[in-house]
Amino acid sequence: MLAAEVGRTFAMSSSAVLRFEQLVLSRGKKRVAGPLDLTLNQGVRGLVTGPNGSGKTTLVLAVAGLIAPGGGKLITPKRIGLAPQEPEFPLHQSCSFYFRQLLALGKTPASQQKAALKRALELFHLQEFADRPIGELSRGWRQRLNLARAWLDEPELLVLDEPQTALDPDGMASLTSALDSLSNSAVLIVAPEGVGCCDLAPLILNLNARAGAQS
Amino acid sequence: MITLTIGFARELLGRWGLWILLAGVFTASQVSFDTTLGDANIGPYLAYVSLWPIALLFRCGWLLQKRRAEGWPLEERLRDPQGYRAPLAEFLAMLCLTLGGLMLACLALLLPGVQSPAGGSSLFPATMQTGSEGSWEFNLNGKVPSDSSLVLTLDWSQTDGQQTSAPIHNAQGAEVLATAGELLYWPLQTEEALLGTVSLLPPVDSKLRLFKPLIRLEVPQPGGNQLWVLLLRQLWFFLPLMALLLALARFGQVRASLAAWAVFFFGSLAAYHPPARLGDAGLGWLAKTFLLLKQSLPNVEGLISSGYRFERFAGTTSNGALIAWLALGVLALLLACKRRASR
Repeated sequence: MLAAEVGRTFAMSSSAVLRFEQLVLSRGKKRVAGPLDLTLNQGVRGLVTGPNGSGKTTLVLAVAGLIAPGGGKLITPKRIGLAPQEPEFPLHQSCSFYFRQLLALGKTPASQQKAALKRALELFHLQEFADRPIGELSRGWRQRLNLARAWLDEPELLVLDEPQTALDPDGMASLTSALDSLSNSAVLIVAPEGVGCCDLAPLILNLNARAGAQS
Repeated sequence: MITLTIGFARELLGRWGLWILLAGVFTASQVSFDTTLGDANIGPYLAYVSLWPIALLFRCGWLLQKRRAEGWPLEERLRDPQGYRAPLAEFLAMLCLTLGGLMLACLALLLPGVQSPAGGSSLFPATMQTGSEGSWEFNLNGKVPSDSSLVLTLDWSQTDGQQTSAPIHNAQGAEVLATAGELLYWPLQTEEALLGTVSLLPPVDSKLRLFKPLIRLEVPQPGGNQLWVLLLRQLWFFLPLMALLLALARFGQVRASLAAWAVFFFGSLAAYHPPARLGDAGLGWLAKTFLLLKQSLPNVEGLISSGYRFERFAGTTSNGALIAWLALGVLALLLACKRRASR
């Protein structure tokens, strides 16, 4: 492989939103997973699963651009929405003011920010909590907020790391409905085996920690 | 950008920030100004007011650290690939709050103590380096405000009793007529003020003597109507420091509260002026080290001069030094907006 191919680029083919080619994931000098190959097209959902320590979160971080891949080629879109496994929030701020700042941080035109905020809150039934400090929300409602945050800005690729965490049946229904509402975005869901995410997306990659291989 | 700036400014102010600022300005004006002292009060007032931008620096350091724990860096990386919006908004928020605080401090102009007519001046000791018959060399201990004068007390007892005046001039040809029984005021030329040294030539055959212990530098006190200029200079002083804090915390990835202390030390160094006599005993070596470090920076102590007898250094910052200092701030801001590659 050419050295120039190693790394992360923002080039997109006509419908491929996310593509790995011989992608190697590593943390420091330790190889975590790979080589991996995957292509995710526009409007497609996929589930990446694997046991604990198999590199699922490392994969999420690499796709989000937070860590550089250890090798291979990773092609991602510019606008990525990420719902991390352990979300962090400014607990003293209200949901709506926090989201307004995030929208200002992104590229959503000012005229569309209000509608984008409303849509994200409605998707996860967060309207009644919009003006409350985030710190007052329960764990489950914070997870909904985490998901709504990923939906802001209408990303081309949504990366959801264990999205079912702390969600009640109503929350899971909201998540399913929100996923169904997407037509242009690709969705990559990452979850351990057997936690009930199979209904959300078809399995496309199974990371195996011991062998570092994919099925 | 406005929403981001407002968001950061709101967090900087917190719940009590505005009230603390109001109470601080009110208290500072009450303890600083006195109608009998008039313009001489401005220095202490400036010192109190400078606490506001310093407090903002530390608050910003704390807040940047808190924001890191709140997941803002992740959102910034995802939503703003260029990475300039958040640091610019943070800088703008600090700029607006500093400006707001200083404008509020300007309201002190309404107080009677500040409105007393200008015209006061302060006297500072100057040292005579050589007292040869041919020339008088004076050391003013550094750069001085350009509208200062050297005040000399002359001894006429050795002169011919008929002599009641004598022309004193410098090498450039400027001349002042000294009169017996009166103090001699030598208005400093631009270069003399800049270098902090004066060389005067008494008449060749005169027997005029100087009372060396009475050599003084007279510096006019800025009037109350100059308060806004002095506060504006404080703004120029603090803006690069704020940009530097952002650069250290963001590009340098230094723990932000630690970066605030580093920036505070850096600012103190830029404003440092050593004791008049630097001996080797005690902490003299430390003062010398600080002085050496300070000399590698633009001379901006005139921007932040405050406290009693602040007029000695106020206004001694040249345009070149100011531009260099601000350029340092621009460079720091550019660094703060530069995102480091993921590892």
